[in-house]
Amino acid sequence: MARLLLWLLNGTATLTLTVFGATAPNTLCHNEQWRTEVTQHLFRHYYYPGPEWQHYCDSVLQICPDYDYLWQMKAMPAVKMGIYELAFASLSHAVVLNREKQLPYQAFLKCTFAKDYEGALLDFEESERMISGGGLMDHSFSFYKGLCYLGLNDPQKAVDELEKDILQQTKRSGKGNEHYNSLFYLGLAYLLSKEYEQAEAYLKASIKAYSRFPDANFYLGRLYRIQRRKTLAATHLQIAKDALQSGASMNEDNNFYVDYPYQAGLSDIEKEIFALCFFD
Amino acid sequence: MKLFPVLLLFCLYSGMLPAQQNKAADYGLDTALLPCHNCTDSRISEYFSVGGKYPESSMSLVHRVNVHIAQKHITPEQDGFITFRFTINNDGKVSAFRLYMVDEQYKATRFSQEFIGALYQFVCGLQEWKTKLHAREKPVCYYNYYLSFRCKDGKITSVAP
Repeated sequence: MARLLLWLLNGTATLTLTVFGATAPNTLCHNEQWRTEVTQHLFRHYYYPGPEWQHYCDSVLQICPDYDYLWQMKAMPAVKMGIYELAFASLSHAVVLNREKQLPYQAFLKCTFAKDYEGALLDFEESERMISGGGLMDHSFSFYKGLCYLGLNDPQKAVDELEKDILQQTKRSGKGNEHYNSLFYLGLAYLLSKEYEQAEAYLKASIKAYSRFPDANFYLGRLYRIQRRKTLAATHLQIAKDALQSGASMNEDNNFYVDYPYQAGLSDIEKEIFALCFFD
Repeated sequence: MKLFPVLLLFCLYSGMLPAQQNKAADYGLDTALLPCHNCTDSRISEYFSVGGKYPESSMSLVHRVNVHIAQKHITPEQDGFITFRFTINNDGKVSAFRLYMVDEQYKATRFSQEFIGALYQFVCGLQEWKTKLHAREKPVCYYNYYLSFRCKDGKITSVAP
């Protein structure tokens, strides 16, 4: 039965085997090997922005509507194309089926892609209650909460969350091994809070870990401009510009798809360099 | 296997979720695809597959779109998300618009013609689309892009991607 279903799915991505919904044994849908084969086939044979990807997911979900990962896979391309109704309707099924795993993912998509910072914060709060000290996509929940507060123009709360994130990393990996993006965002949160000494320390620490980090150099340059340290400002802004033009970036996996909060582009850097002309 | 012929009768596609409705035509957006000059491949890539992210930052776009709507004395009448999807040809021209609108709960909604018109004008005014892109060493003739505007408390608070 399992082989027959897989064969049918493989050959007829656009056909939905509605009738199987009633006949497929429950054990099949929870068979790990079958699930693996189904998802492997999806990745090998379909391009995720295409309609066939959606049709294939629909076909599997007609048979196994409680397969949360397939709901997630239905949501993923839609959110990357800005089609939020489809994305979050699909994801809501996944969250109902596997709250502990899917709620943090939903929070991540709201924070990073949709930039729905209020919605993301609610989901991250609940995720944290379920999985204390948890995280996803290389970062802690506190890191993303910090980003949300930055997006909501509340830098002081962002500082609180990003400090927690740094503390968590220090406890786990020792001092000096913190992620450069954590250090950068904490420095930025201090900069926006007008706590310049702390901002400088964290932005410099981020640059120490990743010297050609465009955004850390850009905001350190801005900080120096605010402090009227023209030479240092010009140096860091030029590094930021050169780094960005040569393809350096934040190095977050999803940066390829979407800008992260406060991420600078070339025109932002050029405006900042231009502002230095009116310095004296 | 006895069931198989019966099953085939039922093998009609039915989506688990209704696809989100494209409202571009309702708002008079240009839905036709512009031609691509000297193209050998009519396939449409996605911007992230060909490195086609718009070079201006999201932060800068938020600032500019708010200036644009303020100059027109238009504000969003409700909270939610407005997504324009469109296709860019190898001359950097945009066409084939699709329009999706949801409220804060990601449920389909509608914004005013006036507000959508102002955003559409803003999107059409963007000039820095990447051209001469390549995928697997072949020139890219078309790629899809989207701009999603989040409306909150009478202004645009973010632009994705």
